[in-house]
Amino acid sequence: MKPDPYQIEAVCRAIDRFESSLREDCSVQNMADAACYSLFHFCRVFASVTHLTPYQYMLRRRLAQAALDLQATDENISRIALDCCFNSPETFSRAFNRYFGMLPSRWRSDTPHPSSLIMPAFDYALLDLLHNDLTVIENPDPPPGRLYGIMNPGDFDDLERMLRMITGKDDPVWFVRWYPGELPGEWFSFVGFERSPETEGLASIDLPHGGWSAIEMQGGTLDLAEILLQHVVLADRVPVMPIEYAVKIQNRVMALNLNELTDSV
Amino acid sequence: MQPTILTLERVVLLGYSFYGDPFTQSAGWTEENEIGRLWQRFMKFWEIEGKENPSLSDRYWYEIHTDTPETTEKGFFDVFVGAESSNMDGSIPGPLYKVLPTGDYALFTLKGKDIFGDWFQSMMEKWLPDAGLKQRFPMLIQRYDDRFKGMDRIDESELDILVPVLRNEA
Repeated sequence: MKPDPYQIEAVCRAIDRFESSLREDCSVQNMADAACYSLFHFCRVFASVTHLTPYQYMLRRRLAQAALDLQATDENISRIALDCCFNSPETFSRAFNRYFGMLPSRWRSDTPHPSSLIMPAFDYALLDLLHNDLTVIENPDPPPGRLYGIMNPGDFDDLERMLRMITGKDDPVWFVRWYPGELPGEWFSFVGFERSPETEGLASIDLPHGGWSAIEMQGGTLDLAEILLQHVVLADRVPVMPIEYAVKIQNRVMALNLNELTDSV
Repeated sequence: MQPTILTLERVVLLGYSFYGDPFTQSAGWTEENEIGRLWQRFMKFWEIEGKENPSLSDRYWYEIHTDTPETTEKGFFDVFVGAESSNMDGSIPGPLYKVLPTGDYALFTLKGKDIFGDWFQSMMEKWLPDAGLKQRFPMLIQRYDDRFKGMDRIDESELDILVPVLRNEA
């Protein structure tokens, strides 16, 4: 059953209550109180709105905060565990390893990491998009194997305008964000066409075969789509797997996780 | 809503139990979550063994939620699904026995789409206090019988809720 706006608002109140005290004791009952629901009904509504149970959300957000602390500070791991409301460093390390697929010490030494791995606080815009303007595509056709265009380290910036200026083409454009696993914390943005425009000097990118996940959304950015794919659509993947490729063509956004590259056809 | 007060003698139930986060797979009134799977497990037992056993009754099906110390902290629930048994002789291996404690229970009957709503909040904040009652211990019983027609006919359905109660001191 699709949640109504009042339920989304109630869940956002609960999330605000939790986020305002993420490093303190905040129980699921506290969140239910903020939503003005009984506990059991709240658990049901929260799961229908976010696709996570309240406790899963709390745990993942505390792990996300811990991951940021590990990257940004020299605080010892035991202190970070306690600051993020884990009972003991052992409990924290096990949960961290289960979620991120590596121990906290390794996460720290491998810093930086793609920001899309860190689950952000959910807000009304994200949840509204999830329920009103987003469709999960089951078994999507993969994107074309090769695209032709231009690539930059970092963000897309002005790439589409430049590509159209260079080629004079108004064909549909594919946006590709690529996070090379061997270069943690770095990414490249590519904008290109499915067919070569036969313009000198263009780059090409080969997209791998594998288990692509796809959503269609009206509005929203590629960043938001990546968050939804990583933390909602693929949320039950354990551990969380970094997206290696995020691809957008018109309303369709597709992503390929690193671990799925082995599923090649 | 006005409750009817039932005084139950010891009621023995036989069924299956689940403890944890009930909505990790799905949030709806569906077979796709932990509670739905508990019902599937119980109904499979019923079809194969239960309905032929003279000690078991299909007059009511029960779904019982009992809070634990982790309920408020983590949203974990103890959920039991089962049917009445006339004894606890242990002759049926597999399922568990559960006993409903003797005492007074407030009975509310929910109808139609109200079954899906947050009636627990209304019950705790209004219905029980208005009747001079309070919950005796954190247990909630959903009691199904032939008035419950199924999720696809919820408008025609009725569901009994029982909660163990004490009378408030005057």
